[in-house]
Amino acid sequence: MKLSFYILLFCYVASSALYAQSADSTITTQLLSNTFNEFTPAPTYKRPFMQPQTSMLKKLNPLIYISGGLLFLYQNIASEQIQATCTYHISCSENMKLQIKRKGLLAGMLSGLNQLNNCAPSVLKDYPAYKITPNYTINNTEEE
Amino acid sequence: MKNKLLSLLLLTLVSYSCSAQINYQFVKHLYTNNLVAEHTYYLHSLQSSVVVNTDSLHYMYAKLYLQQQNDSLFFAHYTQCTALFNADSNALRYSHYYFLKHKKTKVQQRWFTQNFPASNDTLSSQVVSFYSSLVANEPTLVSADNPLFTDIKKYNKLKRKSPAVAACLSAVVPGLGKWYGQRPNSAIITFFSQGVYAYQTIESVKKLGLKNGFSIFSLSFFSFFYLSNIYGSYHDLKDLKQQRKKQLLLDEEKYYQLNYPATLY
Repeated sequence: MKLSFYILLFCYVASSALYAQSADSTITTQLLSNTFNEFTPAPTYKRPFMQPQTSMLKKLNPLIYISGGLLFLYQNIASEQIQATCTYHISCSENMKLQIKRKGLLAGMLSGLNQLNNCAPSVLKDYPAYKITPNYTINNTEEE
Repeated sequence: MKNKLLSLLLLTLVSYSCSAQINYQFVKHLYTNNLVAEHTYYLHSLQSSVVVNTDSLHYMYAKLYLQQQNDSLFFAHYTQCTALFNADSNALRYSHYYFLKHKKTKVQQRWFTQNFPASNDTLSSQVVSFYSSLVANEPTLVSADNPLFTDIKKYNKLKRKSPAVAACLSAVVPGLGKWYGQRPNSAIITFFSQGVYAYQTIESVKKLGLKNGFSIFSLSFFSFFYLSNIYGSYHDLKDLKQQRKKQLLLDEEKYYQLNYPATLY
């Protein structure tokens, strides 16, 4: 019993010592990588309406989570299956997320649906020349 | 002794006037070869000499920051040497062309609302009056030989249109507001898509009844797109006015730059 206990203890100590020797886990290597590796910016929130700076009303509104969830499902699952392409530089789903963030849920959804309604190559002729990118998409970024 | 003092005084005055000269040819060489760091350093070195806070130095700085497209510093120096800068018709034309194609509307407005004095350079006054007429609510007046005459006529027609009317027209017939707002392709797509959604909603309500889940879904789907059509007609017309104005300014800048090129030096 005592022997087995000591064997177990030895295995535990040996494994933790072995683990401590691996290059990925030492504090020194972490410090070195932080100092000398390329700078990478902090990851941004993918769902802007869930950021901590939003108001309590927005955080408690279930419709925002429903719309955000549906957009997430579409962007990450459905659009990859149907290989959807967009006439606009910022895709319709991404634009809807941005408009919801800027204008609120209702106005943002209506603005996004308006773009979705107009998503056809013939709409390019309705825009002035400076709005058309070299890839023949419409540059729908907000202008100052 | 008197002669010595006089000669010393004369020498001092001559040395001051010599050091006060800005080497214009050298500055032109720096500008032409885009030697920005050297250009900046040369002007800073002039600042430390006897030539301090004069019009000439601010004029050189204004040109430097205009070349670097640094608007805030350009305006800071321009306000110190307005008369001298405006007297240089080439630099004035260059700045007009630069601000015509500027991305920020506020900076553009800030430049063109300056009180430019009447000068012999009619081209500068033409550019300013063209911008002012585009921004104002009255129709832009240009002669028929202006290559942008057709576009300006179209823009004048667009200026008179009201976004509220576009929204009301879209409420009556989906897509009609967009046709009114000079977006015919968008109008056709909206009309047909709304027609399909409406037909599908009516069919589902007829066959399945109003209380059916699919009918409720179809009705809400159609109503959201219908409302978005009205919302889009209103905002698209407002956006189109801004976009057409910007395109006209860009085209005008290209026209002037090709036919009446201007450089800073």
